[in-house]
Amino acid sequence: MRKSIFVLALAICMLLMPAAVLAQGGREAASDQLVIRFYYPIGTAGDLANAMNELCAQYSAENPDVDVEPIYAGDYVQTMQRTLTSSKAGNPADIALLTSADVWTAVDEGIILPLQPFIDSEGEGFLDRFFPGMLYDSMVAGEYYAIPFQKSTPIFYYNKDMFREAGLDPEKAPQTWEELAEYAAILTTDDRYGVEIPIDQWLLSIFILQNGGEINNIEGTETYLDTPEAIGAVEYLLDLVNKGYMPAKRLFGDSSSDFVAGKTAMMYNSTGSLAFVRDSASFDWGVGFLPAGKERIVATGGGQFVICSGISEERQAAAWDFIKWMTEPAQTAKWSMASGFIAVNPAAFDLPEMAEYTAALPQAIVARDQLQYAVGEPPKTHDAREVSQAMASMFENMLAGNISPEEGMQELQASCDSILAEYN
Amino acid sequence: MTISKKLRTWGAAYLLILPSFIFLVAFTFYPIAYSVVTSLDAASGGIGFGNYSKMLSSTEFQQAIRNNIVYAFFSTVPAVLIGLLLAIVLNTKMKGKGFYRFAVFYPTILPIATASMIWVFLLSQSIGLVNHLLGIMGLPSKIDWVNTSPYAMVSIIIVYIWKYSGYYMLLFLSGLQSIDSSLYDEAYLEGASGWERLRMITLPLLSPTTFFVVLIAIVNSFQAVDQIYVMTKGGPHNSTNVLLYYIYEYGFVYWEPEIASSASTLLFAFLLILTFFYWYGGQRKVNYER
Repeated sequence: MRKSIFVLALAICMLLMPAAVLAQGGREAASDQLVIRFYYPIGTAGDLANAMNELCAQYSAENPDVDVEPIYAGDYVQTMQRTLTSSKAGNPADIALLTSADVWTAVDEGIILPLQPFIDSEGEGFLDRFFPGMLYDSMVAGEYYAIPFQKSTPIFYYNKDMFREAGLDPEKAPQTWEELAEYAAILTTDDRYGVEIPIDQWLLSIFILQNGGEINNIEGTETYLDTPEAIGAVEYLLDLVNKGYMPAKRLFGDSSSDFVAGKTAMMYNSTGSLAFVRDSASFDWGVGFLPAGKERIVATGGGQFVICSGISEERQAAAWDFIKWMTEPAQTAKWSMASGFIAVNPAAFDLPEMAEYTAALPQAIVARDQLQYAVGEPPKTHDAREVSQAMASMFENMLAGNISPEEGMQELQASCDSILAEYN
Repeated sequence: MTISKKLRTWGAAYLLILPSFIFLVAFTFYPIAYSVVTSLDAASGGIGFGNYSKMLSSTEFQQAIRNNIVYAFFSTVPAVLIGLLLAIVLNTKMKGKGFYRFAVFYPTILPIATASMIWVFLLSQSIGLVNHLLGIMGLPSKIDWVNTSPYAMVSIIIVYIWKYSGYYMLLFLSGLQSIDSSLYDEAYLEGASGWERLRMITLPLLSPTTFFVVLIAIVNSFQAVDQIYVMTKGGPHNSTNVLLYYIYEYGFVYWEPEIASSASTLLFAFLLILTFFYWYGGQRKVNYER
């Protein structure tokens, strides 16, 4: 009998254990303090979580009745997973930092608030604090749903030592597609490529736009990928591959390690790689604007703030105030210096600490100046991740020589049509 | 045994498994059932196979199935054979066998994501050790392993074999050590050659282990996702997209849970049937000692 009582007690303890753990969880907040939950991703390496914690702590110190709790949520995909699942489970976060594609999905799923009322409440000219090119990704079908925070853009990196060896002017990056092909021909040797261009929808889109093409309509319900301009962009890149000037496929990380190892003389890469190249390259290097096609255009990428729906007005107001504070010059400068993202607020570049930073890393100024040619992060459509994957995948297939650019782009357009069919 | 005593004994047993049973129901059985319901669109009232027909007719899914079969075959067969061979070699009386056993087993200890990351560097086209060694041997050394087809598939297969052979070796080794050594002595006295001893004693008596190893090897190969996520993301052009990665992509990147649930249900049914047939079909052919 004693034994069975013991067994019973044990079983009850085991049953109650999870409840005890649950009861213990959750952060204790002062009763009158509003705790704002903020999901953020880190796309690049570095001691960024500390910088984010410091920023949020600083905000809470300046605003004692609000406690912003930064919650690291993984990469962009995982941050979207957490944001969406929390909202669907009826326990939404207050703020999240999402990439452009996921902002569209968040709108389609009805989990974030339109921000025009908040923007209007600030009076005329609130959006002037941002680089205009960075605002494209904040809109879904022409309406504001997000506010830019951590933005990057591709820039052109080149090895000045190799330029000198080959008799090229080390202070002049190639300015056009034709020059890029010429330089690549001169710089390619047996054990290195002339240029590496990470193959994905981001850079493919830039080439299509530079060639005078378009990616999608503003409503995000149609793509235009089988136009002569789009096919021409792929043909240009395929030619570089076929001549052996560039590899058929590289990811962003592969390219930057190849560049610092001297395995490629030039590369397209994100501004996010500036710090890595600075710390790892043992040679003289420079950056420039992306070579222009028919037009000079560059895309942007990165993350923007959204406010989740289903939270009280008090919380919405606190969330908006935090977002406003985070995009002031001092905070954007701090985040830019910690992360390598471009400060979204141009006034940040006038701050003394930023001047010191750009003096040590003058390449960051080139990235900023290139922003006058910036558009958003294509494709800007519904189901953008699926469209992106279709683009990246077909792009790989075409550059591997498995299918001609013309047939490939027609097939790609057909798959995008079927992905977007439900929105038409 | 009286009824009340029976009840007390069994009652206590049920009470003890109750906590883990609750978790199993909440986090395994309920999600399985819910995913079947989702895949059939049953939540909205009617039952339909629209998601299945949409999925089955897509080239991406068909390719994922083909890739998975290729992957399962070319990873399972070599990994099991290498595991068996290593176990037989490392079961002999040799110097430093503890070291060799550890060396072969250690990839098993590494998390698969770490192992994959190591191989991404080893297989890098420009700075990787593999191409470097191929170059020294005068073989083609400019292979872009993880980025071009069919080498991307070869790369993820290499990681599977490297990661799991050591584990299968360990399982085989324990099987080998449970074989009565007097059988070998007797066969030796009867004049049986080494090959005959392997074929007539080792392999038959090892068959319960082999049976088990092959089953988990196949199941493992259909559960591959980590190295694909880390190494290739299913690329280039879907050439390394396998079932589980397909499910992940549709479920958590594209947010189409109906498609992901349909694929999960098919995978679940397939593995269940495989296990069932293998278990009942195999049991008659397997040589158990007792």
